Amino acid sequence: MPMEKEKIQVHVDRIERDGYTIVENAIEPDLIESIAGELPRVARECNIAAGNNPFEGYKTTRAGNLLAHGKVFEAIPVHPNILPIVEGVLDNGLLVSSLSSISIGPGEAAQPIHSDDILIPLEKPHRAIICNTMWAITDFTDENGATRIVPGTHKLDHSPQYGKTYDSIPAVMKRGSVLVWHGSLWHGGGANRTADQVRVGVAMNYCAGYIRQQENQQLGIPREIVKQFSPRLKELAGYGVYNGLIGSICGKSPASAILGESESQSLLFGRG
Amino acid sequence: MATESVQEHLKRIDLDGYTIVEDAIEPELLEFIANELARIERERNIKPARNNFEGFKTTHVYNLLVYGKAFEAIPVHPKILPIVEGVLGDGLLISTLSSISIGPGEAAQAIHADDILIPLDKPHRAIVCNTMWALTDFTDENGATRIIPGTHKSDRNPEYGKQYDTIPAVMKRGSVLVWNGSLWHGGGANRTTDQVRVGIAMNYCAGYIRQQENQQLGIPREIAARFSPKLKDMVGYGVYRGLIGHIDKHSPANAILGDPETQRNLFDRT
Repeated sequence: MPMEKEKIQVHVDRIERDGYTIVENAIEPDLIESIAGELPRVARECNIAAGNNPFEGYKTTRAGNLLAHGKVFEAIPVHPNILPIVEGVLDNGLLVSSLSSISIGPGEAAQPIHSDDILIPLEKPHRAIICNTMWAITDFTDENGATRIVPGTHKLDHSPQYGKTYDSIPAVMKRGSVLVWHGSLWHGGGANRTADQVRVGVAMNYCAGYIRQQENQQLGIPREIVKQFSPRLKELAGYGVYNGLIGSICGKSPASAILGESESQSLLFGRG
Repeated sequence: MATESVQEHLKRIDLDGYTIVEDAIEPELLEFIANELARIERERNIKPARNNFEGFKTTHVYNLLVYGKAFEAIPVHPKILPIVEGVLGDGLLISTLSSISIGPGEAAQAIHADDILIPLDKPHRAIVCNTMWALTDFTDENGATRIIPGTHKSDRNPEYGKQYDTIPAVMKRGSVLVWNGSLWHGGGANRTTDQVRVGIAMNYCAGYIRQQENQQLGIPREIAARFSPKLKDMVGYGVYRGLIGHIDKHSPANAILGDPETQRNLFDRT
């Protein structure tokens, strides 16, 4: 059941005001279960080990580029309860910036507070050029490492100081809920103070259609996998064109020029 | 190019939105490019695009990096690249590389800014920096690029189709016009009866901006594989600031082409 327009707008307004929103019970239990079931396989196949630096953690495992690692992940970027909210923040030409899992293990320390657009040297505050989401594959609690956020910081004229401690609140949410935030919001993974719980999340990150994707989806996803994506997912991976021009190949979309598909968009300068 | 000279050009771009680098390009390279371009237009039977923005008597050849060595020398030219790096910062990308040949009788192009499709509030720092290489002399009569100095600092884009007071970027063959992507400009009318104004539009964007021409999918992998390391970075096989554009924490050059890593991943720096 797709989300109603009014509900979408409530979330978009909250992101505008506070920098984030939580969409409760957004994802069907079956899909959550399938994702949870597939992640161990991906970790095994990709030989995933815990990080070894303070930003990525020492007891946290991450699997990146998930669209290259199984059908089930293709449902994530286009989810009807989440994508319309992100489109409301970034506009419909948005892209998948990265899709990865983040599993915070017992005893992990808190991640330094940061903003996800910190590497992009545009003057702040600026309109959202990144909009990220965290899917709770397990419950997110204060104890097990729920994402810490500093509300309203997406409107500041600077990024946080690396390693400094800030007053933050935990984005506590149930398995199946999704946190959505403006890429300028200050936040970080929480400490996992439990002895036996792994906090599993899927970080589904989007960027505006004129921004370079953080994970190179275009070279990073094998073409034979992209070919069987839905038309919308192809666009999100970078096989479409922004505003009829940006990302084109000789006046065509990559989907048309590279995959031989019919054009789904009209290009800015029609070729007569 | 001497550092002082680079600084002078940067000051001019900051102040006026553009600069002209006189006699920037070696005559042999110009000739090599002109000959190659003529060959491609002939072999591919290139015809004018036929729309208001691209013109009716103007031919464009896009995605030039797929056509050989002559064009691979353009993005990395030592007289121009340092200026553009000064504008956009390290890690910049090729946004597009194409030729624009304005034929006799062509009307003036609508005044525009090259970052017009990007909805960031203006003015903003340069995210696009474009250059026009003169392969023929650029004159007031034959279609020299028209510019409106200082408009890169404006809080808006020009109105499509409106007339503005402009000046022509008159320059000799071998000179290069460099501008901030927010500067209002447009191709000039060609009022001659027999001169084609040939230019190479070598356009760059910052390393965090999506390339206008999709270089990564648009250039066949076997062609990209023979590019110089710097050129590979600039078509998108590198990584911006150790993170943006990576594949499983490796550069595309490493992950896809099997090249050695030239940069360290952001998080693994100590």
